[in-house]
Amino acid sequence: MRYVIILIAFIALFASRARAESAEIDRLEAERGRLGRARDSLLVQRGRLAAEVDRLSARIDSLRAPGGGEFREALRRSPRLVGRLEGLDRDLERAGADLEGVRERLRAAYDREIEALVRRLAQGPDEALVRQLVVYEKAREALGRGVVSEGAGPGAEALSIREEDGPEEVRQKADLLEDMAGRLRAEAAEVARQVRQLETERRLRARVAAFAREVSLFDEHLPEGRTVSPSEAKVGASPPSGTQGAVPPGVAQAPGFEGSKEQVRAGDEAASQGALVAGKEVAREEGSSLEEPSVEDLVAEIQRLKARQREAQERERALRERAGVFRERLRRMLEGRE
Amino acid sequence: MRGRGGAVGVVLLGLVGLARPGGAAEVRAAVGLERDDNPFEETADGRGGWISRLYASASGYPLNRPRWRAKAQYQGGIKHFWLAEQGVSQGDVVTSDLEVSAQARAARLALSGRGDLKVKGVNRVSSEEGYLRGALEGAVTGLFGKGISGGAHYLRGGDDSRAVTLPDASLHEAGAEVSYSRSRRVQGRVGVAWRWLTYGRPALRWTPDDGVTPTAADQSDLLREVSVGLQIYRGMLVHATYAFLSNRSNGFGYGFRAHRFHALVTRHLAYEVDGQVYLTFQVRRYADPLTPLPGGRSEADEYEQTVAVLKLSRQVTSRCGVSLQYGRFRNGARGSAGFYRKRVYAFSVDASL
Repeated sequence: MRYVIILIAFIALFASRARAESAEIDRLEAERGRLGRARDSLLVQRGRLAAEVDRLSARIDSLRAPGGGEFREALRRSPRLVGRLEGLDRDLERAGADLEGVRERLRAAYDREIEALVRRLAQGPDEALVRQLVVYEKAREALGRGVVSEGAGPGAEALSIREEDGPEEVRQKADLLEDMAGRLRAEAAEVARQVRQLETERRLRARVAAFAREVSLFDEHLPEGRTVSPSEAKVGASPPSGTQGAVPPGVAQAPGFEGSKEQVRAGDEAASQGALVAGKEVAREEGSSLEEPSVEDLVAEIQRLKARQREAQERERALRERAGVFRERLRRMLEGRE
Repeated sequence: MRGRGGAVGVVLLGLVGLARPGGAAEVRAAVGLERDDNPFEETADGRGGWISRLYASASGYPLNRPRWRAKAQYQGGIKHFWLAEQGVSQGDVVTSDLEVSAQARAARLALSGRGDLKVKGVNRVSSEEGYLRGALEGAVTGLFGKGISGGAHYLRGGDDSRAVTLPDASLHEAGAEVSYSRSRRVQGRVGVAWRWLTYGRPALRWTPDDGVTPTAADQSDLLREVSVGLQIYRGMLVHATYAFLSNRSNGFGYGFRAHRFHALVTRHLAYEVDGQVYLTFQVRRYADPLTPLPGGRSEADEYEQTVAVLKLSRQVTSRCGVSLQYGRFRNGARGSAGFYRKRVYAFSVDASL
């Protein structure tokens, strides 16, 4: 029971420690949490107020026919509530914008950290960095892609609609943008395939490592050598009487000479010739621990490819958006509005 | 003493764990049930029984800087034997292992240190031996060129035995290794090691007149090892190691030469199921025959260990998986009478955080 408690304590200790390191990221995460809570609070207030406005409107409708003081009071309250509701909406909008701003900064901070970690990992494998990278990568993915305002890629910037462009030029530029987007999509798909392959390899290596650790912990891979015990009788003289406990004076206190299991395993032949055989020599092969294949370099490569895939996808999206704008412009030109 | 060892482990890990917040962590646990047809490793008339197993591991980085890092890893496990041996009550094996390591890295050189404390407690299971083991290791590794790296290590350790069948031991080890990575998927290494072992038991001597008798000196061995390893990934992961061992002892009966082979092969099969095969084979030939007469050798002069395990694993969710395992074990003198054999069927569920 004591060991179970110790195990649980260790698990709890380590599980609580898996969190991001960078001070900037910590600060931004805290800011994001605060803004998220503020927005949630505003949403709750807005919900209550909207319900009150609805109730008041219903009341006004019910009082409209008879008229009277209560009706006028309700009418007077109504604009105030609507005003408060509009104010809350403005606050919500601001909070949403702030939140998106923090998210954007957080995305940029994570991207910077990930890039720095990948650079450091390129210098050599480092399990700690890899794990940190995985944590950052997950957090970055949870933040989503955000608003793509840039990153259409090299060459795409040169493609803009000029005043002198006619419908044919605009169509060609839109086609070109879509071609570029198509190539990026194919590149992202190829990278995704590579990532899947590497993920399989990583999983297999992790399985081997886990298996090796577990087997080593319980000593299930260790050999058992023989243990030799001196006999009472000289070799070649009369054999000892049976196979039980032939322990000479002077060695009785030494471990390895008293176990009954040794005698159980002793070959009759050996025993009759003056020595007992068996016993374990486990736990002496420090160097024979099963080697665990490393997953560090693999995880680093997976993260690099994922970053490349994400970049390709974002660039593809940006190109498609621009192609859409070009097509819209072309449609308007063809309709004669421009 | 066992409790003290565990407590020391807890305190050490707690200290390093609380030293600094941060550092990514990994936690894994597995629980399983297995059917073993010879859990007490009898050479004849083995009785089958059920064994349940709990295993947990946790690791984290109390210190993680670009050039410095420290890692703490804890593993613990319990095996409970649901059958009684020789009329006594049910037994169990409790194992706990704490490893703390640190590394300092320069451009092409890294210095590392490692401390390991393992406690194995055995309660009413004659086929297992309890001990408290400690080890300290220092190592230096470097990059020599493109894909070539190497290093040397020194280790000092000792075992405090908790079983009458297992002697205490003191260990010094020195070794060196060179590895070559043609690519991430093909890696090879060559290593040599010298291991000086002093046992807490008298060395034995054989003379034609007196036979086998103890001497005043403790048994002292020098084990030399040359090993080569290979790791290949081509759709399946193959991890293999071969080692040649030569043990020289001042005591009669313990010198030997051995060949040891480990292989772990794993590949994805189908339907999210991965298959693993683990093989280990070792054969030893002892230098001193137990029949020390011209031309006389007994079956116990050669020893063989063979382990083959097949494991099928499936990831059910991102954090949870199930496994089925079948294993065959053969261990003992090479002659038929000296073997024990056993087969193990196991089912387990594992989870990771």
